Amino acid sequence: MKISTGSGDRGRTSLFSGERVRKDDMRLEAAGDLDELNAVIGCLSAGLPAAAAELKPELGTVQADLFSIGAWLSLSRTSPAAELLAPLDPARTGRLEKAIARMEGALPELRSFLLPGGGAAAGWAHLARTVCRRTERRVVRLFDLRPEDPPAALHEAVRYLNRLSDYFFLLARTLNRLEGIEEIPWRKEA
Amino acid sequence: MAQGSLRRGTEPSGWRGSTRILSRRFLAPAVFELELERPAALGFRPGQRLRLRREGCERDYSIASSPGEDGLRLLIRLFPGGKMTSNLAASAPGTVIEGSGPHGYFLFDAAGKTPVFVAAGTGIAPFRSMAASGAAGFVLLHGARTAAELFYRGFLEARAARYVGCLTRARPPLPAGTRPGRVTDALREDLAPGAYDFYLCGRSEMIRDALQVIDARFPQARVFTEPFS
Repeated sequence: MKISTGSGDRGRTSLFSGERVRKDDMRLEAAGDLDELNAVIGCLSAGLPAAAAELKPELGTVQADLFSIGAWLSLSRTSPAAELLAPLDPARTGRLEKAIARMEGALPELRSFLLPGGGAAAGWAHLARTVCRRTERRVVRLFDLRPEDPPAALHEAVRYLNRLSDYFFLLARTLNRLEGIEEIPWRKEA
Repeated sequence: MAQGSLRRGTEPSGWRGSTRILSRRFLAPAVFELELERPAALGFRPGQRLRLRREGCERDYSIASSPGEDGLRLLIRLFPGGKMTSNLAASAPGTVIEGSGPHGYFLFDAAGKTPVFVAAGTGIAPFRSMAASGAAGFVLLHGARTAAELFYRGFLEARAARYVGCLTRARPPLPAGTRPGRVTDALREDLAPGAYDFYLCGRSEMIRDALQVIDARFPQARVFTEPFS
């Protein structure tokens, strides 16, 4: 597969479904943020401490899920290719919810806001959380393209991303706990 | 999903396994059509690809036959030194081949605007499949070196609203239905202003050049691309 074709040198590119659009098209903005999120997860996964190595496959599954979501973001509702894409399975979101419950059950109750940080791995998890929230906002904007009939896949994508940012918040706390690093509570006056 | 409305046998369904070569027919000195036995499990849409594996090599080929036909036809250019194509060209009928499919999303949208099929060389294969599956009223620009390499011409010309063979190495007088130059020349000079859906299949250089013309002349058009690797 050739990576560089030069066909986008004039600021236009093709969506997965065929439309030629400017590279700042809303769908590409959303797909780009999703791509950024996936890259941050790659950094997070590569830097997992040994004590959390078992989380790597779980993060790999999330990355694969994001690819599936990306395909849906990069097409129009009327594309014939949409008929070949598997619908976004709500079971993916269900998997996240189980992971959230698992981590929540193993963590001390949260009594104050936390400053993002602690260990480096937790820092990456917090960054993933914030990029995830931005991606979610961009995907929500895609509802405006066909407000009367947003595809079910977009709804499921938003549901997934909403859970995913919660997952990363809990993952940050979990990573700090596994590394024995204290969480940093927010105080009004430092 | 609108799969319930598809004809039986056309629903994409995954297949991975082995099949057999039924026949091999040279259409030009370096281009042959390979017909394979169609695995019962394989359902595909016109425009999709079949992946073949031979002795460690793996290549995708657009399916030239329609889902309604019994066999699977592939149009293959023999590259000098190309391990896969040489192997396939030398394989006798009855040879067993490993493969999988269908692959790809290069599909025809019958509900779209006037379709313009743009093919270079063996890139005509998916358009033969689309035409054999009922696509009609399309403009077809097929680029080839000579008229002898305008594969499936009679079949496609009968179904096209307009057929233009774009010949890069033919000498005048050119046969009817052809013009000198590349498909990009035809896009630039022969296609009237209008609303179109473009479908491009061929080498990535052709697709890049065609997109330049389409972006300049038809900025609102949809463009579906299937580049050869």
